[in-house]
Parts: sequence; structure tokens; C-alpha cells
Amino acid sequence: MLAKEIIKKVRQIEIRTRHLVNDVFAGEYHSVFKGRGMEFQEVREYEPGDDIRSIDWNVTARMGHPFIKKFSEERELTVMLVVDISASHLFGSQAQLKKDLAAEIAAVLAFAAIRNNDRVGLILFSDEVEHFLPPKKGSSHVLRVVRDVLGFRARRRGTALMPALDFLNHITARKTVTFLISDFLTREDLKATLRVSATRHDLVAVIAADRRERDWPAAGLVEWRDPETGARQVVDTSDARVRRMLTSLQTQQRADLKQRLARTGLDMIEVWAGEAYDRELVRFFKARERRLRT
Amino acid sequence: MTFAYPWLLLLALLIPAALWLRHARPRMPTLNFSDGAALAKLPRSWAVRLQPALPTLFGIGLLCLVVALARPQKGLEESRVRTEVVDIVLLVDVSPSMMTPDFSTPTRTLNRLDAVKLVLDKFIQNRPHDRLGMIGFSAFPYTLCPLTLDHGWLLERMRNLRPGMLGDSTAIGDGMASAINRLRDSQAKSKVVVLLTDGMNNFGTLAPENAAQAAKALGIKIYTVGASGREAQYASAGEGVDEAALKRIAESTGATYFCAASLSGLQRVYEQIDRMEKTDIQVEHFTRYRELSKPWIIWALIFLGLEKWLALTRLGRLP
Repeated sequence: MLAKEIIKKVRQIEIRTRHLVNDVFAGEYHSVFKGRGMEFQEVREYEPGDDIRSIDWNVTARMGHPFIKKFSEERELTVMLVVDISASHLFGSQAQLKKDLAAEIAAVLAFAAIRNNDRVGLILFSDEVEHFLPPKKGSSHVLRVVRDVLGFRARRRGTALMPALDFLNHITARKTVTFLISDFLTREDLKATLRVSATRHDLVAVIAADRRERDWPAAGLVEWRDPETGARQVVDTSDARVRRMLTSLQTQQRADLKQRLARTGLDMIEVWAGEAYDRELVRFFKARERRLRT
Repeated sequence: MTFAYPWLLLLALLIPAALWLRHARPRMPTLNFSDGAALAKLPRSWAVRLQPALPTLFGIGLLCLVVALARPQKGLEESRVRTEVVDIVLLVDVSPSMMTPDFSTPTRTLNRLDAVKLVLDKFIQNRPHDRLGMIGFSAFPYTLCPLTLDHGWLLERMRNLRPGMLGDSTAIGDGMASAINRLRDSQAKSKVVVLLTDGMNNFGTLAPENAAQAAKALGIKIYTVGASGREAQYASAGEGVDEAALKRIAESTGATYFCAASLSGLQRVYEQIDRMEKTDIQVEHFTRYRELSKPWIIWALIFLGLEKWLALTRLGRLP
């Protein structure tokens, strides 16, 4: 993609997601990803209208008139976007490739994070870490993040979560909120791969998929190619048996994946290429909020 | 079946290249599918298994086209026009004296008749376009084979010749008359009798000289060959070849008399006659051909059409 096109696309995403970020799940995001709590900021004189509960009696006794303790909420949250850019994301049956979907989700989350004054970092990976932006604040930084996630061209084709997550554990000293955006088409043992990261970080899996990956129309013989391995295969999509088999295989595989992720203790967001994802995001935030409250 | 342009068959060597251009898989466009592992598990339907049929049909179709292009044809009745060039009756003496073994090849000794057969065999095969006939005679003439183009049959008949099969004496005049009779109705440009004998006329109703007159009147040339090997010198008077008479017969009809005293001599004699009776058949040389490319073209169209049709319907691949 040309630089100009990328900038245009960044603007488009910014505009399109503004409503989503500012209005739809702004509150949810804020409350779901809490900082580490309240942090003492200063002690100042009591002014009428201040909550009397916050009067610091020790200082008051010493000084002779009332003082209050002031706290501020800590929101030094770091959001890491770990985005899979392996070749299997170059699939899209409708308006969008999975790659673009992943980029757009990453952009939405980045904007939401920046609106809440969080720091945003980015890791792009295929079967190795391809690109890394250290977490930072600021709207210019978030635009950079969005630009990179949209325009970065992968050097390698395969998928491996392990190197990316290892890298994440190395570069982060503190707990982060990490969104792992991928199609999870990998042969790794997900449980072992994710366990360490899941305990260290607040890890959320965003599963990017396409409806056509499990449900083909009857379109005669199709010469498919696995973009990761380059293996070719002619498949008869007009054969109902073949299509049924594919659907059951993929459904099975997805159920498997979800089960495995759930067992690792990850939250999941399922998004589909070419479809609106805001509802999925909202549902995720709502569910998480509910869980935090109880 | 022959080909008018056989070198065009070399085009068949280009068929693999054409197949590669059209059907090589690495060149075919593909659709990306993210989960290749799932694809490998899918069953292969009959349409997938039939995929190799497309390049096969295409290749066969091209091959048929190449064959059609090389112009297969069949030569038809190429000799009919030339049948009227020379008619030759081979008049062979089969009297018992032909049994005399006085001809020899480097390895064995042959009797006169066998030597004659050997030489005639070659003579006949050298003249595939002329009508040939054969008459054996001694006391009586016997037509072994009338004038024919079926030289295979003629050779077969010649093998049946045995010395003494037609009596003990030698009726040269009657033999000549019989040969002339065979040639009377012939429309050929040149009518020839080749008379081979090892004796003199001592029987029969017609004198050789009279027969020669008749031949001359009908425009028939009578070549005469006196065949007597090395034992002829021991022959008593009245038994050897009557050279003077044979020479007269030959010269009176405008032909030549030859004397053959050995196998190679006999061969040379017939070669000489062969050369002398060579007519310029180049003028008449043309062959009617039946063109056979049509079925090949039809088959090519069927195969190529079938390939196209399948490729556009059930066996067609996306993209």
C-alpha cells in the first residue's frame, strides 16, 4: 500500500470508529480495564463541599484546621496489541480480508486506549516477531500504531504464537492488557503457549475469521492454495459431501480452539471479516464488566 | 497410408510444450484458503479425480491435428494407367533336356530349368508395372499364366514348372503360336515374347519361321535365348540349340538372339532384354490419392471440443 492510501485508511478508520470508541463502549472500556487502584496525590486544605470522609485526621490535628487527602485514580495502563500478520490472513470472501479486519480491530482498541489515556504498544508477528512499537501515550503515537498495523508487509508466511508471546513477556515489566488478534490457525499447543502470558497479563484473544472458511457455496472445482505453505489442492465445492465435511471439520476445530482458550482462562472476542464487529466488542465489554462486578 | 508431409509430424514434439502452457499447475492461478490443513482432509470427489482427463484429451486432440496436418493419404490404382506399356509373354522350354545340370551358382549346381526360374524370378520382380504371362512348352504349349499384373501368382505358377511335364519333344513353332495368340488382343504399346529353349524344333504342326511371320504381322517382338550350359559341347548333332534358326526368328521380328552359356550369362541376357524393353513410363506416372485427413480432423475437433466443454462445465476449475 502506498503511504497516501494508508493515511487515508487511517483517517477512515478513525472517523468510523470515533462513535464506537467515544460513545458506545467508552465507559465499559474504562471500567473493565482498571488501573491498579487509587494513588495518593497530595494533602490540601479542606474546602467547603469536599467529602468529609476524605479528611485526614492526623494532619488536621497537627495543623489545627481541616486538611483532606487527595487521591487520584491510577490509569497507567499499558495496552499491547499483538497482531498476527501471517499469510493465512490474506483470506477474505466479502468486503474485507482477515488482515484488514485484524488491523481495524487493533485500530479501534488503540483509539479506545488512547482516549482513556493508556499507553499503547504494538507487536506484529508471523512465525517470528516482525515489528515492534514500544508502548507510548499520545494521539500521534496511536496514529503511528494504526498506520503500521495497516501497512506493514509481512516478511514471512507462517504462524507461530510462541515467539511473539515470549517477546511480549520480555519487553513488559508490568502487567499489561494484551489483545492477541489472530486467526489461531497454528499447530502449536495453544495451552502451553498461552499459559505463561495469560498469568502475567490480562490476555484477551480476538479470533479473526471468515464465514466462508467453514461454509462454501457450490462453485464447482476450485484450485485452492494454502498461503502459508504454498500447498495446492483442487477441491470439488459442488460436492455436498465435501462441503459438509469442511463445515464439520471447521466447526469442530473452532469449538476445540474456544475450549482450549477458555481453559487457559482467556477472554475471547470473535469477529468476522466483512461483518460489523462493534456489537461483538460491546458484548465482550459488557460480559467482562458483569464478571468484574460479581 | 502415407503422409504427404511426414516432416510435419515433428510438430508432435511441441505438444508437451502446449500442454505445459495450458495445463501446468504451477502456472495456474489459485485462490488463497487460510486453512490448508483442513483442505488436505477433504475427500476427493470424482470430478477431482478426473482432472487428468483434461490434459489427456487436449494432448490427443493436438496429436490428431498434427497427423491431419501431415496429410495422410492412400495411393489408389497407381498402376492401371501403366498396364498398357509392355506386355511380355515368357515362353519357357520344359523339355526333359532342361533337366541337364549344367548351370552352377558359386555353391551348387542347378539344372537348366532351375537356373531359368532363378533368373526369371528377378526379371519378373524388376517389371512390376507390366503385364506378364508365362507359357511352358515342349511337345505342346501350356499356358501357365495368362497376361496378368498379379506377379505373385505368376511366380507361384512358375514354381510348378517341371522338365518333361509336357512331353519329350520340342515344338518351338507351336509354343510361339500360343504366345502370339495370347498377345493378339493386347493393346500394349510393345508386345514381346521371350523365348527360351535349349533345343531345336522337332515336333509340332507349325514351323518356327511361319510363327515368326505371324508375329511380325502382329507387331510382336520375339527375343530368343538359347540356353545351353557347359555340357552343350558334348551334345550330338540335332540335339543342341539351333542358333541359326533362333537368330532368324529374332531378327525377322525386330528383336535379338542371345546365347547364354552360364548362369551369369543367362542373367545378363535377361537384364539386357529388360533394358531393351524399358519404356519411358514417366509420362504415365501419376497416382490418384485418397486424402485421409478428414477423420483425423474430426477426431481432433471431438477431443478438443470435449476438453473445452468439460473445462467449461463440471471439470472447470476456479479461478
